[in-house]
Amino acid sequence: MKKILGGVIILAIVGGIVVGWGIAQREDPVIRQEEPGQIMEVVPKPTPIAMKQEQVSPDGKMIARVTIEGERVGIWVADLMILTKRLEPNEEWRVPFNTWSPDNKYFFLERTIAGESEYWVMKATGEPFIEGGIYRVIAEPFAQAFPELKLVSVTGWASPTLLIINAKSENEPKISFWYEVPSKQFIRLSSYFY
Amino acid sequence: MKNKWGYIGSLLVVVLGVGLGYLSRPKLAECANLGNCGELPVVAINNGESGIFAGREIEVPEIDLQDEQLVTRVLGEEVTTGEKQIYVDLEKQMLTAYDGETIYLETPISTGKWGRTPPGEYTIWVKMRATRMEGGTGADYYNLPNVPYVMFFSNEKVPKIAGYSLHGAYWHNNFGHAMSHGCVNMRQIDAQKLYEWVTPITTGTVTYTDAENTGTKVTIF
Repeated sequence: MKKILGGVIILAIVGGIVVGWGIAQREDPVIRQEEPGQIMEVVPKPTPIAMKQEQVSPDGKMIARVTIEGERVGIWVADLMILTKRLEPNEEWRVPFNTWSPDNKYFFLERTIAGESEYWVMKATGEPFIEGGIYRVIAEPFAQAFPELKLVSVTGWASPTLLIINAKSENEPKISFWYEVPSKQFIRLSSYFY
Repeated sequence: MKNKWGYIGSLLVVVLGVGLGYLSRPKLAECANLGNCGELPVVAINNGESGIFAGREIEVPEIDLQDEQLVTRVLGEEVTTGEKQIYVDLEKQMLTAYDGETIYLETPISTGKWGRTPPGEYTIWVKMRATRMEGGTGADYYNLPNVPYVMFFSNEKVPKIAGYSLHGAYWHNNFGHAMSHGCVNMRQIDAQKLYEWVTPITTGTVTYTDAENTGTKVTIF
């Protein structure tokens, strides 16, 4: 009986020392101030880039890039920031392989919000379009112009100013359009591109 | 009466023979560019001209040969680790270039939409820094000067005058989707990379194959 009691006491002491060391380690704040009484210099850690996608322009001279850092989305052409905005819930961005217009003057990006894709077109210079605004969203005017159709994809450029839009309806599984950037017109095609 | 049936029978035999003969006639090869069909391609640099594609005027990139470093290698120089082979997957619209068992280049391309890209085993027979391609009619008419980094291929069924090639495309950017009149369109940066790698080894603005400077194999499937 005495042996058991002795064992329990030793076990309790050893356990206590271990727990005590653990607490001491946790509660041992090492405050490093170079000089007491002075304001410490706080160097913020850089926010890790959560996403970076880019594509080089056809002439090899520019790169279109989308970055997501923390809750910010950045759209860049080389070192020129075209736009920055807050990242919304369920928002995703993609830089398509065919993002650049063949003459290097425009580029388009795919933005997906809650599973619905819309497509943004911008000038490589970051300058606004004639109606104002540095980007145009294609999905909304397309839906207004053709409410019976569903926009499926934008695959690339048929020429320097013509974006290729693929859509479908209940009766027609494949319908293609051109979106002419300068005139903002949707041109329905007799053949399809997908 | 007997003569009448004999006459009709003979006529039917003749008509049948003509029909069978027509159907079994040797087919003329399709051409990649109808405007150049039946002529061997020539190197052509036409700076200052504009092009036409999809009913739109196209700004044509200029080519300044004096500014370019010609990538040439000495024949017999060891520049590769294995046999060079190019595969073009029509369904996936992808090109893969192998150096032995190593992938040298893998990139989306555009093959025939308005004209067929014929599957088969080919050999590159000439490389040209640039040429003009023309064809189509009406709204489909195209005339494209300075088509860059052109690698013409042929085989026994698709002759040289058919004009099929791998080349850069400056007039569209819809790679990964059918978009050509029969050729294999590539991004200019990819076409340049491939052009400088494939054989025949480049010796000038136009390089033909010969016994010592043979062409890379191209498989289209």
